[in-house]
Amino acid sequence: MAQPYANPTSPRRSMPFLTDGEIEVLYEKALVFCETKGFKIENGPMLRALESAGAQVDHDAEVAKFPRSLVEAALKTVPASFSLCALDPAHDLIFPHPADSFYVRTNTGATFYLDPGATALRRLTVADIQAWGRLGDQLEHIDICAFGTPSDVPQYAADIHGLNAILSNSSKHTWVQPYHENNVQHLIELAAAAVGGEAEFRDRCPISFIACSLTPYTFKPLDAEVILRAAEYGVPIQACSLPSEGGTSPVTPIGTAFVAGVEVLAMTVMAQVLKPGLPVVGTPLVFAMDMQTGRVGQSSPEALAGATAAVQFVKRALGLPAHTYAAGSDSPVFDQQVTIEATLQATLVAMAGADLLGAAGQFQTATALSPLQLIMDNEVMGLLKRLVKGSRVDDESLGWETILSVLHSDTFLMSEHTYTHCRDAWRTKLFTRESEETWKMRSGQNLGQRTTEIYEQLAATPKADLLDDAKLQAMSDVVQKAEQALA
Amino acid sequence: MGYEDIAESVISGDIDGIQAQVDRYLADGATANEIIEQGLLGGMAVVGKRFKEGDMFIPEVMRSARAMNDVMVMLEPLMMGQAVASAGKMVIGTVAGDLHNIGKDLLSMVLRSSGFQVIDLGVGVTAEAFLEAVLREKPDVLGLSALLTTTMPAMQQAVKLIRSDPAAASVKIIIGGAPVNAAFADEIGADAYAPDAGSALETMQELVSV
Ligand code: B12
Repeated sequence: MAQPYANPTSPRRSMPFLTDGEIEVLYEKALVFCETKGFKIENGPMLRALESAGAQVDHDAEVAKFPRSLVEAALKTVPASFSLCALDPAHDLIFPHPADSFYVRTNTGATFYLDPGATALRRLTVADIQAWGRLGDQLEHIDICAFGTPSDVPQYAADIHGLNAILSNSSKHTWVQPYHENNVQHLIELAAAAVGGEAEFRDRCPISFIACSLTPYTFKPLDAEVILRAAEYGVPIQACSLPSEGGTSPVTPIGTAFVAGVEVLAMTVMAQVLKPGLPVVGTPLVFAMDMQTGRVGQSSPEALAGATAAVQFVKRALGLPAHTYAAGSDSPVFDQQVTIEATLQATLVAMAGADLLGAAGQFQTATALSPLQLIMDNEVMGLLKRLVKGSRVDDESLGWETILSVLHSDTFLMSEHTYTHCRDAWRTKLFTRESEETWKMRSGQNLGQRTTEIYEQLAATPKADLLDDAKLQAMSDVVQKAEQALA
Repeated sequence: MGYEDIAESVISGDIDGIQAQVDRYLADGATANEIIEQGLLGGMAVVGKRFKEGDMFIPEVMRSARAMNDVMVMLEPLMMGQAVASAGKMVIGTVAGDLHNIGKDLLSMVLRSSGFQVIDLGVGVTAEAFLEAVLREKPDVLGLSALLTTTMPAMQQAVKLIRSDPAAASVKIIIGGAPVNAAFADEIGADAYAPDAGSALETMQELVSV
């Protein structure tokens, strides 16, 4: 097995959803799967690269099988630490997290938007992505500003317009979902323009790429193309697998976690064969199909069990940082169910030890965005970041001296220990813990109203000039060129 | 004898038992048509109703459909040109550039279990391939599925091509998939939209009866 992915100096308290023995079983079976069943990879250059690295390739069937030695060698070259860079270096994300915490990403690929106060969804536009980027930039617990699919641009270039909108409005790292193999190069050129050129891009890449399997066990031409280009330019890969329990993977959460894990493993092997040392984030995004209705969702206990197991498989058996859906909800409307499901999932996934918590600000299973939900998710993520720190037992955390020195029936309020630690507690900016009377006097606002107020303040903040005119012009040139080429 | 045991085998999805039952009826002189209409379709009608009410789950419905289809294959040569009563014929596919098939497959399953004949063209189907299939199969309804906003234009192209061919133009077109809605159906000249498989079944029944 690979070395478990963790910070050796301060092992974060994560709940063992799977035992070490179970992780071992999954890992052994993953090797058997890679060696005997293999993956369908619909991309000639990728198959040839794998073949020369020792994979057994059937070119007619486009199936590659990976011997144990190939898999193990690949897992050894995955970097133990790396950074996902941001336009503003202050927002660079270092893996493993130096404080043994996690990072948070906003939702990707949504096509609908719910304006604060509105009840009906509308289609997402470029202007929404711009506003989303500015909002995400101001929320302290949002670390990656991902974006939806704009409807008001030619759809063959929707990903390019989306990236353009986010890079010019957010100084944080973003990950990118290319929609077609022909778009990948344009996306790279666009991000390079935002940092001032190819050399700068290779040095401090402000994006990572989503590579995504066609579950089960298949990689379409786009998926392999993303990995090939990422390897060429040194773009970190987020290896995504989106199985649906009972639909495209076994109906059982563990079977699904396994399928997601082996697909992540396959992409890791592809990346390491092409460019040893390329950063890979293992990103299983687990759904469950409701066997009664056929709906596919992320919030059922079965989907959550699959997600927590997949996180631990990726992290502990494959030794990769793990990233999965943590926020979001299957609710079709923006109501309390969204908040409940998002918070439950975030809590479980954080406790499972995920390094990157995804999909903040969404409902309707990742298809609709709400800026109000993003603000609430930001708050919950802050709270969870506090929680995963855990507590270590030593005399200081115990307050041992104080415990012994405080008199019977006395309080701890005046002690030196309390004084020293009185500012340790996490402060909420959104929730209220006032008495009813105080609350009525001070504002009388409920959670929704308080969130809206924060939204209005943040939305009114003038746009910062993140990029100079030369960069903006270069980006606009890339967009134009891409549109012409792809039309 | 009322073929209740065959209907029961369809409902319980008894893939092994149903073959022997059908053989016995045939040996006793029953016609293929009687077995189909009274046994198989009778059973499937119950399955459809139970699925709608949430009493049967998808894998159970699929097993029932398989039990029925297995014996249908066996009975077809004995039909001697007589057509099986069908609720309607549909050609369905996911549009070009789009590989999402779960929703389309589910819809096909629900429609089949309610007596529709469904010809599934698969995923990534081009406008030309849809047109060809409509001309060849002459379905009552053409179903188009898209799960990506980026493939909605491909849906529009398919509708446009079919409407432009006089021999295909009159086919009823229904669309579905997460990013599309009734307004989009109107906009591109489709006849109907349905948000899920259950409502699609009702809409299909309306479309076919018009
Ligand atoms: C599972 C899934 C996948 C699986 C698909 C597996 C498969 N074999 O189908 C995989 C992982 C392969 C995949 C790939 C991709 N996906 Co995808 N996927 C999903 C997901 C999570 C669920 C879709 C699903 O299966 N739903 C379950 C079924 C039962 O529901 P349904 O499809 O809506 O169908 C029902 C109704 O819509 C209706 N219906 C459907 N078709 C029809 C047709 C007719 C005629 C009628 C009447 C009704 C009807 O009835 C069905 C049954 O009730 C959605 C998110 C979501 N919430 O929808 C994203 C989603 C659709 N995918 C998305 C994306 C971006 C992609 C990829 C580009 C990612 C990538 N880089 O690979 C690729 C595209 C590949 C391609 N070229 O098609 C985005 C789309 C964004 C956009 N721009 O529109 C979504 C919204 C996720 C997100 N937020 O990013 N995906």
